Amino acid sequence: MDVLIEVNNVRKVYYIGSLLNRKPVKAVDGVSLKVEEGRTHCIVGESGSGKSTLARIMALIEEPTAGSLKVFGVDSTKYFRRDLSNDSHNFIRKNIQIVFQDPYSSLNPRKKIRDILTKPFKIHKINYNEDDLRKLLIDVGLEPPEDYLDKYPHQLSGGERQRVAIARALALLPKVIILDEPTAALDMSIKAQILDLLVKLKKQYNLTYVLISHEVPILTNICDDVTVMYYGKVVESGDCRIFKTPLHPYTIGLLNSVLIPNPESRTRSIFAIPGDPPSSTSIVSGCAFNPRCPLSSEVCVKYEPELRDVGVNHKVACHKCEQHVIGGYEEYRDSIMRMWREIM
Amino acid sequence: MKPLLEVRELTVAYRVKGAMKYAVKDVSFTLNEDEVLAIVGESGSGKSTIALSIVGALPENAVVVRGKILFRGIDLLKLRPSERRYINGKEISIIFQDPITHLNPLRKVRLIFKDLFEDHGVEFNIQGVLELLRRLKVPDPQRVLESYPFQLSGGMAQRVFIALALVLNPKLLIADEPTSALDLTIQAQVVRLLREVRENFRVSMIMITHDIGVATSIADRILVMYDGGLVEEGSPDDILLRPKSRYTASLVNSTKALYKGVMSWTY
Amino acid sequence: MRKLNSLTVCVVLTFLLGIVGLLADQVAPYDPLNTRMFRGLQPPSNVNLMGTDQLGRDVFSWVVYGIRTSLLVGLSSATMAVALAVIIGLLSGYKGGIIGNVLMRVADVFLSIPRFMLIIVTVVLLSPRISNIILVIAMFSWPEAARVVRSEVLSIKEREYVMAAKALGSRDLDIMITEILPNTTPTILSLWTLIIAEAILTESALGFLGLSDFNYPSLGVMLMMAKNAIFVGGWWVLLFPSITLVILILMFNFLSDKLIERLSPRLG
Repeated sequence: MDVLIEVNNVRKVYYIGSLLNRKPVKAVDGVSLKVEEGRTHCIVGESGSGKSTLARIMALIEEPTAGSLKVFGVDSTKYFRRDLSNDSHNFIRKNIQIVFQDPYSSLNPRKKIRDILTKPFKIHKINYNEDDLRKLLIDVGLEPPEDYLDKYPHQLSGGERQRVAIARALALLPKVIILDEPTAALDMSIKAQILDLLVKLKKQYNLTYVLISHEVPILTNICDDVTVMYYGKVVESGDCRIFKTPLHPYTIGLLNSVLIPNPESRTRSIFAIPGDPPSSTSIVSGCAFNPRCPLSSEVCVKYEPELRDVGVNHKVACHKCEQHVIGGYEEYRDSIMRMWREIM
Repeated sequence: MKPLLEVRELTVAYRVKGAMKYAVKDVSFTLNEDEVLAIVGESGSGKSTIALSIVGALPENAVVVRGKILFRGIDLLKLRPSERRYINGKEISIIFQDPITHLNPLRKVRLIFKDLFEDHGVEFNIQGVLELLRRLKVPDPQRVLESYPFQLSGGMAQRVFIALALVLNPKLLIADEPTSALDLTIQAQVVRLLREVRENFRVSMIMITHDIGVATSIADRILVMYDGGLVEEGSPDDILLRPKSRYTASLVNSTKALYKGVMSWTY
Repeated sequence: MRKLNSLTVCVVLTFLLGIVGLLADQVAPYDPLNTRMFRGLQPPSNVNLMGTDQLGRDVFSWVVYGIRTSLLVGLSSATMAVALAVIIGLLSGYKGGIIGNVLMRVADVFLSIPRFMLIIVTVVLLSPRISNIILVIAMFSWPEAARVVRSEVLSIKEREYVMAAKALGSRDLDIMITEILPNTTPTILSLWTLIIAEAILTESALGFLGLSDFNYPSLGVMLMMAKNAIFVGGWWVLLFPSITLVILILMFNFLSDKLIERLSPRLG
């Protein structure tokens, strides 16, 4: 299968603070991953993990500070320096689109829905007609389309706005759509509807998704490949089976933090990874997760773990996890949880 | 046993551009001592309006059209602002979603506590505050007291906020969407903390949330709101396994569909 | 009958004042520049509604033409200043970089020197012709407005719909004009009316100091006359021009507040 987006050791550093007191923030700190055609690649992480920054880099809205990004086989620096033929440049631009988290701010409040949707066609000088617009709205479930075309964003609900944002990304039938927390700001029942919509569109138009979210339960329904991020780095990656057998303590802790709505939850004890993630400007030595990790030892404090293969399509960045998986996976996972509960 | 809180036929509307938009329609429920009630609903269901009505923090354009809120027999809606102030913070307290914006950034945490004590005419008991922070698992409470709110991490700030709400031993704690928009691990921390609070301090709670998972993890009873009306009431089991109304059933079904991939985890 | 709200009242009043200014030739009963048309320092009467000044000029006619001058200077200089401020603010806010920084430093220089001093000196150096006055006021009004526009642009450009436009492949110029500019409209309109108010005040101050164009009666000039007139009991020379000036400035200030209040988009 074709690799549509290839991220290689990408770093992105921002500077905050005043002229004389600038502190670097390593939003993305050496991330590598591959997005394969036709698959949904989920990037899981919490705030501070760098996932949104990574999304913008992959969507070619921001340039990485270091490392390389290849889209459709072309190096992104060529794209940014306009070192390509017009056709190539436009091809790339048209085929990677992005949907943002906040349906309230991703649509220009001063434009009608009609204008928002015709924009992509106008920019790329593609002819369109009223039917094209109608079809787009029907595709995303906004029927009858006439009811929506002449409205302003504030006249629509959150879920409807998000559908418009998806329609806008879909307009030019891109190969890849990057979705940055597409459901985080929506109500429960709307989340489910939007996810169903995304699945349907994927089949209908042969799309490839990069889905970024901290809402673990949602991802488990839709992902093919997973990359787990913590504090700017990849801690675990592979295909969706890692949700069943996660190896990295953070992933294990994260999955066990989900508050499941079933009758047992009332009596089941709630698990939460102790401690807080490091602040964006703190300088961390060794593995960023070590202060909160039950397996932490000297080597974890001193050296940053590399992302290594631990199985078929499964990579983990951890010094200690393999040593502990001796008696079988279940025992390993249970022992990690036990160690944590002892600390709590 | 008399209920701690009794809401009767509460009807609240907002004046928007001259028209009245009803946010809460004829809602009645009771809360007993030592009970945790979760009010679950989507945005626009009116659940937050109920919380604000109880603490008297409704915005200016809100109108309580009808109803009573009886707290230990006293109708909160009929109280004068001065009488309200006696109750707020001391008998009934509330925590919100975003702790940092609700704490004065220019005041050290210790002084924020001091202000609270003074507002209620109680002598400032700093040892009590330190003890409370310790019980809420705040590491190094002394340092936290000397910090400013913006210097605290999210989880720490939420604990301070909860401490502020508990320090005067209220009978009722209202948590208005305390976990929305938070990361998963922090959500888990907050819900876990609230559970511990419930177990260790004898305080009744009303938890307002749109997340059924959060509600079933902590509540004894769940109220389901839709479009301003109370649609269903029951135990977590009732709501999850035997929903009576169509709306509740569809809500539970969407949630089940969303959580399909993780439902099998039992650890 | 539609509800009378403050914005409507304000707009209507400003409009009326505008008409007065426009039709000054028709409204004013006498030629304001004609001194010794009447006897000096006559109190308000049937002949002179607002009395006359020491030089025998009809105060009412002067005030009417004064409104016209104020509005002329105010509108022209504000429009020029805002146009310049928008271009500079957009460019330095959106593109940033060295040019953006340089432009802002230039603006800072302008802002750090007392504006009014600069204006007086410049007007003295050039001649006090009406076109110079308008240009000078515009020249010294754009920096502050540019800063305001720039900071709006800075916050808007981080909004997701701008990023979405980038992702669609919109070019920078296109983004600035179709995405960012429309969202700065409330601020721009509000700034514009504010600068009008400021310009009117400045123009009158110049007149007070004797630096106005003789062909364009300035309310300030009448105030200059009032300086001496009140000592001999000529209260009308002070009262009417002052009230007119206050109304003009208040109107535009009020408009500025209301515009920003009403036009800011509801973001849900």
